[in-house]
Amino acid sequence: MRAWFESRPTPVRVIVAVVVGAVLLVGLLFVYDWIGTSVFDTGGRIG
Amino acid sequence: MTSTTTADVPQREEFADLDRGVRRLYRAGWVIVGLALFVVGFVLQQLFFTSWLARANQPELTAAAELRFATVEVTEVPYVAEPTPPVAGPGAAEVPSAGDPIPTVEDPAPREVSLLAEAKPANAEAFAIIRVPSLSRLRDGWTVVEGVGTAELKTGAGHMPDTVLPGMPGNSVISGHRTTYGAPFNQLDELVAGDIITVETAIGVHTYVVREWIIVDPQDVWVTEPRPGAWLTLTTCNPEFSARERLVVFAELVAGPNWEAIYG
Repeated sequence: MRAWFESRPTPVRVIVAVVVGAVLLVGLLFVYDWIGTSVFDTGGRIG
Repeated sequence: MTSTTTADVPQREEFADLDRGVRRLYRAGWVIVGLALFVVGFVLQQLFFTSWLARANQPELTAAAELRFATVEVTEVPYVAEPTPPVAGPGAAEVPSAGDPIPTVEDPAPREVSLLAEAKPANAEAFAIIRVPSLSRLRDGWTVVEGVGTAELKTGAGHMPDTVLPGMPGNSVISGHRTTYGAPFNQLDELVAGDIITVETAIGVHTYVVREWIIVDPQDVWVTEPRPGAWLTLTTCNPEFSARERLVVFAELVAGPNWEAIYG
C-alpha cells in the first residue's frame, strides 16, 4: 500500500490523501457521535 | 535551552536499529499521543461542535414553527372534563379542623366542553417554542421538534410522540439535551416550585408552573403517563456529562387557551 502510494504522481497522492482524510474524519465524527449519544448525553429520553 | 529538531527523531532506518525496548517505548508514546488526541477531539466535538450545529439550526426551526403557527388548522374538539382533584400548595383549599361544620359539596359532574386542538406534527417537524424566564438558556426560547429519536434530539429538544401536545389535557413530555447539542435543558436543576414555563404552539401560549423535579432511572416510564389536568414534563440526562439518570420536571398548566376548559 505504502509503495503504491509513494509511486504515484504528487497530484494523485494529494487527492488520495484528501479523500482518505475526509473518510477518516467522517468516521471519527460518527464514532464520537455514537459514543456521545450512547453514554455522554442521550438527550434525556425516557424508556 | 534545548530545542527538538527532526534530527532528534529516529528516521525509519535508524528506528530499525534501535533496541527493541526503546522501539516499544516509542510506539507506546505514539499510542498515548493518539489516544490523547482522540479524547481532546471527542470533548471538542461534543461540547462545542454539536452545540454550534444545534444553535445554528435554531433560526431555521423557529421560522418553520412560526410558519406552522400561522398555517396549521386549529379546530375545536369535544372534551369531557373530569373533576380535577385540588392541587396541594398555595391556593389549595384549607383542611377543616375538628368542630368545623362539614361543608356540603355537590359531587362535581363531568363537564362537556370543547378544546382547541391542532393537527399532530409530522416526525421531526418544529411545532413549539419553549421559554423559561428564570433560566438564561431558555429565556429567549428554544424550538421543539416532534420526536425523541437520536436524530430529532440532535436539534436540542423533542416532544415524545406518544404523549399529548402542550396545552392539551394529560401529560405532554419534552426531552432535551443537558450538555450537548445546544444543551437547552442544562439548567433544569435550577428550577424551583413556582417558576413559570411557557410553551407556544399553534393554539396559543400555554403557561405552566413548576410543581417539583425529581431524579429517576432512564427506564422509569411512569413519569410519562397521563395525569389528571394538564401537565408538562421535561426530562433530561443527569448528572451532567452522564446518561446514568434522568432529571424530570413536572409543571402544571395554569393559563392558556385550554385552561378554562380543562380546569374551569
